[in-house]
Amino acid sequence: MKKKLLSALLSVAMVATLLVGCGGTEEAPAEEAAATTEEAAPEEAPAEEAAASTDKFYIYSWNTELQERLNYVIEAHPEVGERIEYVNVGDSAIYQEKIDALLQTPDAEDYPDMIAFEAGYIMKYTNSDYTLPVTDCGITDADLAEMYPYTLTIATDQRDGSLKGVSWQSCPGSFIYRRSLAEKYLGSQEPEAVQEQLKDWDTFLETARKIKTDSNDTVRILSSNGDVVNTFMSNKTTPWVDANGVFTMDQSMLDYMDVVAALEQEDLTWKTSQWSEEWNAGPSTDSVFGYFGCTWFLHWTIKANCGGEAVGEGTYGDWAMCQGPAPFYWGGTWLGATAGCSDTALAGTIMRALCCDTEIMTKMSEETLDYVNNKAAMQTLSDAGKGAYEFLGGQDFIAVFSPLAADVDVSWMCAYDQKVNELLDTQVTAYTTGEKDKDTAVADFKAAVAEAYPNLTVE
Amino acid sequence: MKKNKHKTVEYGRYGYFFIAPFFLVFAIFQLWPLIYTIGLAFCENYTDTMFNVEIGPTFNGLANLKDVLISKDGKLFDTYTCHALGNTLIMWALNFLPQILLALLLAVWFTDTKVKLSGQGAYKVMVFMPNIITAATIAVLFYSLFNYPNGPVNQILTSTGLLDEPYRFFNSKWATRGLISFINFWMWYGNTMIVLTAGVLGISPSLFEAARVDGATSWQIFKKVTLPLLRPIMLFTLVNSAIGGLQMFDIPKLLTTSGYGDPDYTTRTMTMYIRDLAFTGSKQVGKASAASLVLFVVTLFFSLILFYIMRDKDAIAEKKQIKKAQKAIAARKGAN
Repeated sequence: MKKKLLSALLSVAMVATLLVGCGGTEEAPAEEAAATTEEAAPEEAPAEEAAASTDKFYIYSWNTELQERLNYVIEAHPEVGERIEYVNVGDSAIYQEKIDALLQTPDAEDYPDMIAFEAGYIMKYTNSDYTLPVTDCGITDADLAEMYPYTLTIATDQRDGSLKGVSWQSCPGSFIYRRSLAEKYLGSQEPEAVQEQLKDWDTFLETARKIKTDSNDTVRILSSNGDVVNTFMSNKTTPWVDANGVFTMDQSMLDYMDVVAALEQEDLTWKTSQWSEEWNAGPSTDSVFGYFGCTWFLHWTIKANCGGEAVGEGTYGDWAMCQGPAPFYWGGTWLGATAGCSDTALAGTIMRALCCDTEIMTKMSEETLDYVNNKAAMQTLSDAGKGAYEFLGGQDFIAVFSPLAADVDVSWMCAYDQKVNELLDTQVTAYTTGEKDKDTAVADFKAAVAEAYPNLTVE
Repeated sequence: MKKNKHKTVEYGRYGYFFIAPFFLVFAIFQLWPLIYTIGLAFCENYTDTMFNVEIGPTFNGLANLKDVLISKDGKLFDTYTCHALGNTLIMWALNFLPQILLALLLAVWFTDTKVKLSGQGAYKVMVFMPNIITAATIAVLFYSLFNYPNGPVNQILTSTGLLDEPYRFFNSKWATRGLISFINFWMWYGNTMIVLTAGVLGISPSLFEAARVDGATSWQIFKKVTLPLLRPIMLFTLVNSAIGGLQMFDIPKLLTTSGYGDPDYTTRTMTMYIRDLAFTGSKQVGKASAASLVLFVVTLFFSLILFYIMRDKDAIAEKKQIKKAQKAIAARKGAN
């Protein structure tokens, strides 16, 4: 009898160990996240222990950007810092999968209280019952007064018109080019003169050919063919999918295929892929004329890769911005509260401090050179002459971006953007490398969309 | 006396207690998901992206299976599913045939008492090494090696004059497929070789000696002694590799930039496709389950074929003869 008991006990223990083992793996991401939080913000470490007794407030994002911005909130509201559990999923490619799974489990310990969204898929969440209107978090219309209108349009639930997310940044785009190369091959480094030679796509391609020939093929206008895509995306007249679930391919995207084909077949770019090693190395060499970039791109990508940190080092100070062939808009991050948010008041405090408070946002912009989503803050900085930026050879980046930010039109966006753009990219590559003709590529693209979204009507 | 009897019965029961955890875990984490997947294959279940609402699961009969096997304009097997299956089979064949041949050759050489290769240990460690490194690391390594335009391979090819300008390996369907097959070959031939070496060492040396004394050549020994006696191990290797090959995922997923089987889905394997269906876009869980079912059927089909090809013909013939003889004896007894 004793042995029977003993064996039963042993087998129970074995099962228990196994199950505990499984439980452990599931908890691992949260623990890892906690570890990263501690690494990134050591001053938060003591708070971590105290947080064990109170409820943690989970905020999910895919990189450290929001985490760094949250430090401005914590500075103003120290009590917030003790509650926040920032989870960095680490890769924007898997972010949606991760979030979708978490949103299905409102009772889970690590259920997100707030989540960050990117422009490419924000509508999937704001048009759903997974997110809360910001009014539930105590955000009033007065709080939203200084925001750029398009940031509100994107985050509005199309079903009932309630606002579901707020953003702290605004991301209009421009063409960022090298002053010295412009002087050498285009005759002038001044933005107005350069803009004249990039004013539309035909002129842009002409200039690209000129730069290539005049430099004996040591300089090309862009690094990757894909660099132009955001400009065309922003100039669609209709979204990929309209309110009735009908998929259409806009003329702008057909033009895009032609421009990319020209760039590819005439060897006008270096044919790298965006974000690759070679592509990132471009700004520090004299081989790439310019990049299509936006507010965050200027700081996070070009400046970070220019090979120096002051005038005279690398290509620092040898850059300037102009509009390029068409106005465009690229990216941006929004923050929203989830349906099961455990503390809407805290969510409101974070949103108000991060995205509405002019004082905090002025400081944030001044220190990080981020273009914040607050007209008053940008006006203050511009008036104070804080926009003149050494990196751009003294050009006032606020003066360039301000009119662009006010005019951003986002009627071309929809919940399907990110995946559809990926599907398009595959077919555009096949077309430009000569594997397929344009009609086949377009037909295959539509077939791929129909495959990915069975409930759409694809024309 | 009675007490002793009781004890012997008890011992048998302990065994069940100790294997219980496995069956419990198997039932929860393997058997139930398996049954559930088969059920989902006959259901409509996806997410409407516009409002992020899950639709289903509702029973819709064979619609998913029809979807994965017949294209919208009615062509049988002209679907993304079947293309993915085709890619998988091509890349599996390209890596498996050279892999088994080389592994077999090395296994025979390493075990041959006549050849007596030196430095065997070092070589065995070296060929096994790629298998220890994680697939992700190897994929990234090869991606950088064959990068355009400044990867080391392109630099070597252009500086030696073999190519006039750098070649974009990852834009060519056969180059990418070839690379994926090569990586899998390179990663796994060491493993296969060690399994086969063990198999050859399991054959009694006296058989080889006897054959040699009889004047058999190396080729004759290989063909008439080694291969037939290696059959059970070969069957194991083949079935194992077929199952592993049909589930190929990590290398093709990580080697290409987008992770969706560049260029133009020509390196998208079945498991990558199932994952794309179930977790991206509309999250078509129903259709993904139907595709999984197809993968299961194909795996089963290949395994059965291998079992049939590798069956022991002599043993079967012998059994038949014994039966025949027994019948004849029975018939004679009956006649008497």
